[in-house]
Amino acid sequence: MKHPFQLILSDKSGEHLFTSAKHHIQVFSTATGAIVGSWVDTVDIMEPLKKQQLKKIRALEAQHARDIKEAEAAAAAEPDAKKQKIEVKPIRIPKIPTPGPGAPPVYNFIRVLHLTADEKYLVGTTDSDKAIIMFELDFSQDNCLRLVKRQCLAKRPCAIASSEDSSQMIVGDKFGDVYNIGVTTPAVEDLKTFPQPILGHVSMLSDVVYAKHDGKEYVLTADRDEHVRVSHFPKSYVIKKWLFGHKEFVTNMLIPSWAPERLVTSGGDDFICSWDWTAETNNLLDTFSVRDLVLPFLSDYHIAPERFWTEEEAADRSLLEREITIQKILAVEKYKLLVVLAENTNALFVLNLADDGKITYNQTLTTDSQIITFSVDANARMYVGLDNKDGHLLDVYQFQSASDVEKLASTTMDQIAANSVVEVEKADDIYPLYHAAALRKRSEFS
Amino acid sequence: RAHSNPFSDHKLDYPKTPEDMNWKKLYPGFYDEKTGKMTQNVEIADIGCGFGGLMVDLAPHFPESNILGMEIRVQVTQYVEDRITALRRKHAEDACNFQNIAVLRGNAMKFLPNFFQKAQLKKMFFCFPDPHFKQRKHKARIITNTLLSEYAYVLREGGIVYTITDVFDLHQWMAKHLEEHPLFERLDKAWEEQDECVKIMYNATEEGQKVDRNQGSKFIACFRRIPNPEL
Repeated sequence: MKHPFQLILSDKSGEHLFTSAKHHIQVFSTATGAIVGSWVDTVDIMEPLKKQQLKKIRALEAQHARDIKEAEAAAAAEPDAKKQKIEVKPIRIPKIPTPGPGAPPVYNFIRVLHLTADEKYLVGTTDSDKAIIMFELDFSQDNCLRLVKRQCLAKRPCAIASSEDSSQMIVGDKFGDVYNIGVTTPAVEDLKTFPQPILGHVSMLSDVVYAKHDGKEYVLTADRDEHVRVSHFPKSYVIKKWLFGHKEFVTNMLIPSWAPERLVTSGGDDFICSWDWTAETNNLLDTFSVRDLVLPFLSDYHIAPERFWTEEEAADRSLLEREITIQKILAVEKYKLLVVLAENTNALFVLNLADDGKITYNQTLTTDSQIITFSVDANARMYVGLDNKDGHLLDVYQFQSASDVEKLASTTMDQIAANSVVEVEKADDIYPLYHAAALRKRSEFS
Repeated sequence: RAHSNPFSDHKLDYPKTPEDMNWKKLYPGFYDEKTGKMTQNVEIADIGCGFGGLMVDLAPHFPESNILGMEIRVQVTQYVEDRITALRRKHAEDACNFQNIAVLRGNAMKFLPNFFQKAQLKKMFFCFPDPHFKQRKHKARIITNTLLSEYAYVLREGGIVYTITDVFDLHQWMAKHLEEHPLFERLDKAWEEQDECVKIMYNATEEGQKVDRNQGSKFIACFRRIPNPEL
């Protein structure tokens, strides 16, 4: 069976869909469903550990050589002494740790796909060697993806933005640091010589956005605490402000193209925030509760893991609350709409974003299967990635007006799914598709 | 416990925004019932204040500023709280009544901007911070190039960062990162010698006295917050 697409991203024209499934990137033509580009991460997931082992062995060998020299020198210094045995401990090759029984499985997948503003580059991440991968796009070639740079990082990259001219990739990692990585400069091999981060949070980065206002450049960063920070760019050591309003982790930030001073943020809260991120004070314009919209679509999946239940909750399960995680918000530029996906549900909520930042409800779209991810192109066409075991992995919708959405026949979408080469034998082999809820902090200790 | 992991998600109380911070609770002596406002604000922060010795010695020198100690360890914070309560009671009638010092449990590395407005502080102290010797733990150090940007945000122009440690490697690390940061400049020995706070910091803290008892060395580095560059 076909592995569902974990990420999908359309270009502005909607001619191409960039997708990921496991460690494969595939680019499809939306006109024919044909694969026009593909790339597979061939680096072994054990690679970083092997490198580490090699480093340790080299250090041990060097130490061993020094030990022998020292012992020889000591023996030479005391010629009178009875013939000394030169005793040096042999090297013990360090083992690569192997996960024991019951250890969580190791996955190797693409966590982020990002298209630069000029659509010249597709940028992604790898798990295997914790790298940023940059592809130059050339649709005149048989394979439109040409890998131009693969830069390993010390920590796993998990958010990508790019500067206006697409020359710099702004990459956030799991450790909370943000690096500015050039596209054309050669990859740095030795991470010790890697440039310092341009900014950092003391929390996992969840999203990075590049923005411009009044001729000045900014980078906006959001993290697993509830912080949203606005920093100047590239002098990101000058912080403009924090945007305070969230109570839980933030999963994504959106600056609508028609209102560049607006910012919409969401995540583990059951509300969406709308900001004027450029204002000096009173940034928060609106908070829109999605609770009543989302609750009917939640299941027991959305209840906290059992080990976090209180005694009362364990005794009376009706007390357990289903938790809302907004996985993604995208804009339909043409009609100034927002589309909201709550994780592991089969609904998309269409909202209006007024010029004053107020958010209002428009309509709900439902699908037959759970939605993994979605993408919207400049022509107000929306591609929806489905968690479906029968091979129907994509739905497509067309916004006809601000209030009218039409579901289109998905023949080419089914063709795309059929052309995907990422297969699994059984449903159990499908990678985890929902990750955002795990960002919720549940510390029990003080 | 001597150490605490700044990355883990402790159950912490912190205000949603600096405006939401209830300073009245910490500095009741400077709360104006009529206006409902504080009559003076926190301008000096001791990050990782330990047992509070520095604050106690600074208190009489800065009656016009509130001084806040931040400490991540629960028991230590409790101790300092009790100590301040006792001092306030004992010196209620004295010129220095210790109403201008307070402690709060918090993770300064994560939530400093929740407590302080932009440019609110004039002095920040980092006394005998956890050295985190291991290379891969270096991000857990209280002075990193990325955290310095946050300290620069809460410090006003001309504000001072004070550092002191008995670990030479850490001293070098802190000095290097502060020197490299575009918003700080190192203050020289002559400046250190004339500065009252350096003297207090050198002698005051419990950690510092422990170093004296063990005949260890103490290394000091101070830095001034310089204006933002053209953006």
